[in-house]
Amino acid sequence: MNAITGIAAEDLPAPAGAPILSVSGLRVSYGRIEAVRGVDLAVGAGEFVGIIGSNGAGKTSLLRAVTGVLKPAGGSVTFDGADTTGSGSHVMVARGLAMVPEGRMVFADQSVRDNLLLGAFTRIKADPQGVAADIDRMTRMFPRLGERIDQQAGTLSGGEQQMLAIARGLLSRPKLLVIDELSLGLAPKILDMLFPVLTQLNREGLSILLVEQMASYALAVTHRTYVMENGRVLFDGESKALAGDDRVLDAYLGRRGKH
Amino acid sequence: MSGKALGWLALALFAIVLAVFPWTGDLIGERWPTSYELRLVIRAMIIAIVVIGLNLLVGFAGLVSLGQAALYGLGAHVAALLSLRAGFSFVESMAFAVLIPAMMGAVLAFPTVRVRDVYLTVITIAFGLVFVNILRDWVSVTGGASGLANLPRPTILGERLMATRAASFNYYYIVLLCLLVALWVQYAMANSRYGRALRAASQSENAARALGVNVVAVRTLAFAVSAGFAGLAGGLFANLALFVNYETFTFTASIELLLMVILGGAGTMAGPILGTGTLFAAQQFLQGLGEWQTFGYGLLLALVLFLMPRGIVGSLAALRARVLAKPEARQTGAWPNWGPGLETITAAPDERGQVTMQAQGLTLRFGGLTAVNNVAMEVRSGTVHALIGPNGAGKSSLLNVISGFYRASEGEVRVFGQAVANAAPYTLARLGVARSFQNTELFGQMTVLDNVLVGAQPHFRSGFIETILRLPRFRREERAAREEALRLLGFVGLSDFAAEEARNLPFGHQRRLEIARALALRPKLLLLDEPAAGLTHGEIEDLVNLIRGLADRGMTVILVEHHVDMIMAVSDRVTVLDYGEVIADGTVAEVQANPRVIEAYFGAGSEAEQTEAAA
Amino acid sequence: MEAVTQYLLTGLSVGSVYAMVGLGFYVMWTAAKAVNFNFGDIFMLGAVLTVVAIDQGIPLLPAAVLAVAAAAIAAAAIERGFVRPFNREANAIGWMLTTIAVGTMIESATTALFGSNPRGLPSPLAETPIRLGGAGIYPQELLLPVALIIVAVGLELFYRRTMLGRAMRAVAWNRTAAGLVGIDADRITLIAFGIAGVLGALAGLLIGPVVQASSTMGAVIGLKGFMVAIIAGIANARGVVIAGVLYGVAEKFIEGYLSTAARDAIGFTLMVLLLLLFPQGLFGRKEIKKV
Repeated sequence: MNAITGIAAEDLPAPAGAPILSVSGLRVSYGRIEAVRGVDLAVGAGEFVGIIGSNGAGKTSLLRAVTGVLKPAGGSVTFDGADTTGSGSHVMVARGLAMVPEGRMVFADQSVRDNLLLGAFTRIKADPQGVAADIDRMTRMFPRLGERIDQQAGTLSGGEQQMLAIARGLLSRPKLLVIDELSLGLAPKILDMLFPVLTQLNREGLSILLVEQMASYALAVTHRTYVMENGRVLFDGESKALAGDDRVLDAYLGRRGKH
Repeated sequence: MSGKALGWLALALFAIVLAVFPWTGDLIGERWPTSYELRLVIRAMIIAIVVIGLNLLVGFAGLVSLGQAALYGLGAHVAALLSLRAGFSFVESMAFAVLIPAMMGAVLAFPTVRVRDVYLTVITIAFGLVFVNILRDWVSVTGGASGLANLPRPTILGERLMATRAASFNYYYIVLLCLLVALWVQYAMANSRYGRALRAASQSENAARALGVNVVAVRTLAFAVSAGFAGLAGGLFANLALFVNYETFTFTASIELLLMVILGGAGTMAGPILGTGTLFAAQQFLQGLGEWQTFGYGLLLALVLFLMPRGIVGSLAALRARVLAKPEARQTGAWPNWGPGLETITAAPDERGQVTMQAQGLTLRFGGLTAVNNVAMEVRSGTVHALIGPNGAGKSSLLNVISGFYRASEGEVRVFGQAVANAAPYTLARLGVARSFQNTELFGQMTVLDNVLVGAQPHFRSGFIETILRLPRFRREERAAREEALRLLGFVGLSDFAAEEARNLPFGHQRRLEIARALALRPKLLLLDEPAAGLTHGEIEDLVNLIRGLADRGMTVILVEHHVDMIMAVSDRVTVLDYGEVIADGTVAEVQANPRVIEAYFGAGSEAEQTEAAA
Repeated sequence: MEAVTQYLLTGLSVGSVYAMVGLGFYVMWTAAKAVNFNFGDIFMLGAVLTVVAIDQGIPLLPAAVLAVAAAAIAAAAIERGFVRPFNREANAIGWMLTTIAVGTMIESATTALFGSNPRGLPSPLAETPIRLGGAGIYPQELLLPVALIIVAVGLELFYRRTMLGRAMRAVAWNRTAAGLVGIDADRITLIAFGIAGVLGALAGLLIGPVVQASSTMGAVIGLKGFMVAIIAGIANARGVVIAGVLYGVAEKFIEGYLSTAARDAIGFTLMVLLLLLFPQGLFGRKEIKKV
């Protein structure tokens, strides 16, 4: 039973399997600044989980600790059955966790194709044919990347760069895809195109953890959502239920005590 | 005993021992020191003067020069040439031996305007090589490899200056006097606004600029003083050896000088003395290594960097602090604490109802990206004006334009009625614009009190000479600045932490300190970039009170913030940015009800409407 | 006219050395945002170790290969031991001092073990000069521009066509993002220093027959290579090649028309002035300073 939401585990949609990712008591500090102050979180295999919360709530820091970009100050991360607390990000990718970072971080001075090849860095030696086939698959999923396959990634539009970042992440054939701020700087039209792709990927069996500032999108596509504030998980629950929850809107616009 | 008293005692002992040293033989009844040993000590004292100058650059200004030996050589050659070829007296030639390298140093500082770090070091190396190249090959002037020999023996008032018993070791005492003067200048500079500005600029250049420090000017000063010391030492050397050639001033010598600074402890008062002394002693040993001598230097440098990167004095000080550290119960005071004397901070606000800040058609582009797009905005005096918007909306960029850190691509900014589109941050700071930074930019290795004192920089009127001589006006201003800084620390509840290094403060305290530091400028316009980020709810409430209190006393505040509760509680007016454009502007209630604002934060489409309906 | 041809040819040859050393700095800088400050010593090892190997009775070509390999390993070891531990924070400069320290040790140890006298490095291409457009030049000197072209093209292909090269560019662009696609940025940096070592040692061993091998041959050339890389805008390989060659040619013209003695004084002054006029380098891109 979750103390805050009052929702028992059996009320949630049945997770497809054991958790692929589970985080417990995670803390992240920058020097003396504590950005994440003890977070518990789990993503079931095949689940699509969101984290929402205002800026500075600690979402990105949480993701960075999970994906190995930085070392947590405390707590543990278990991924795919192994304790991966403090493993570097290149190790996590090899284990099957890929990340689409905030701001996309495509390799702007290299071609779209090279970006995709780099996405497959951990497996290209072992499986060059598989990588080639996957690149084909990506260009079908995102035809605009196919059209610009030899163009420098830096010349792509923001939306195209986000597609590239997703495709690059997928090329490592991850078990869990972690996405940070998909919507950042993107027009609604592009988001309306990108979110269904994620839903489709999830239906095909990919577990996804999505951090998103735009709560409406996150709540619409995910199974379950955590709401963070001030480095802690405020509450979590089924996304459908949270979409109608006053506390979510209040947390964003400060409309406290108006109901 | 306090560290400071200990330091003065050590200095007095040091001076006495050196003063007595030539006469030790009379005390113990032996022929000691020999003239070789005496000259060794004189040379060590001369080198120590160079090292003190280099310490100002490396230890305080954070600028690594590997061309210091060339400046030392410049002084030596100026002195030698003037006395040999132009018949200048000792005093006259020494004056030029200081001045010309000091001017050269100021020229060398020019690159710091444009380049930093490694590039600067490379430039100093190049300078050193060019200098030695000229000395070696301009034979008609410098004598090339055979150098300038047979310099006339220096005299003052007809008295021949020598380091011999017959002359009462008068030259020895001149060198000692110069060394003590150098130590004094180092001390006086370090413990003044100049030293604080140098350290501030090296620890966070942005924050220093935002607090009214003209970084280029103080760095030029540091370079000039440092080069002046090198020149002084060079002149003393020439008049001791009565012979100079380029071999003394090569790149290797520059490395040795740097090694002495680091070995002793960069940025410490006694470091240059201990570093020079230790290396001179080590040299006697290294000479025994023959052709492996240079290897020994390299190894020593590497060992120092690996084992005690803070040098002898730095490591000892750290040790002392650890041994003496007693768990002091330090009280964090309540804030804001409007005590007496704080009126000065808000004594000269912009007149009520004025437009304190006005932006028109303001556009900022980075390459192809438009961060701020045709923004018009007006901030009235004495109000709290919030600037909000989703991530990447251009809020911080706008703040950076207003405070002079970014130059607008188009449009105009007026502050206090003045167009300031091209003003440097330090100019704006002196006009009365203060700011805080998103990721607190404190001067981490300076004390809490010194951090605030940097903010008081623009209120000083006393000049460099007054400061070095510690004349009455300097003392008065320094005292006043300290009192005001302490009042400000009391204001934010940090009185007990005044002597603590800023980096050791917990995060919430760092935010408080940053605000106190900004207030030390006595600003009319205060820009706060996410001041509540990382603060607890209680701290945010205090912050709201503080901001309100400042505005009620006439200060104008522009606030970039995400904490919605806080914005609602503190703001008179809110401007909302999205994609760099103003999408809403009005009172809190107006903005809260604006559908475009809701869309910007939540996303478009039916989902948002559902959520809206549900709310 | 003959003099001009002579200056151009010898300038091209010495400029190729600067360009190759500059490329070494480029490779190190892009991967680590730090360099081996005394990279000239790796250059020196290329020549000196070849002579040492020949002394041991090893024929020229295998000796050269061994020397380059040893120098590359030394270069990589310096990254691991002296650069990485002192390059943890952005804008750290500790690595500058540690690499100067280790460079000093390498140079003086070489002086002690190898002797302070320059030694000839035998090459069949440096025995009799040939005449070319009225200018006299050793074939060995003409080999240098050829080697430079091969190295520059090879480097370009490596960066564009191989996975390791792409990974290196990815690390240079954004270490975090590189880690997030599974690249071990530390390992890549180590390899980059090794590759730089190959470039530096190769330059040293190729010029060795012309200038003779000695423990001090690298000091000034290393610095010139660094300055060339900096004024080119250190993140631009083609710029480094152009700047290196131009500087070499300029030096020879200064020597010819002004004086040999003033060469470095004028050359360095020129470079400092260029750097002041173009702080980002001649071919560099302007970086946006974040506040």
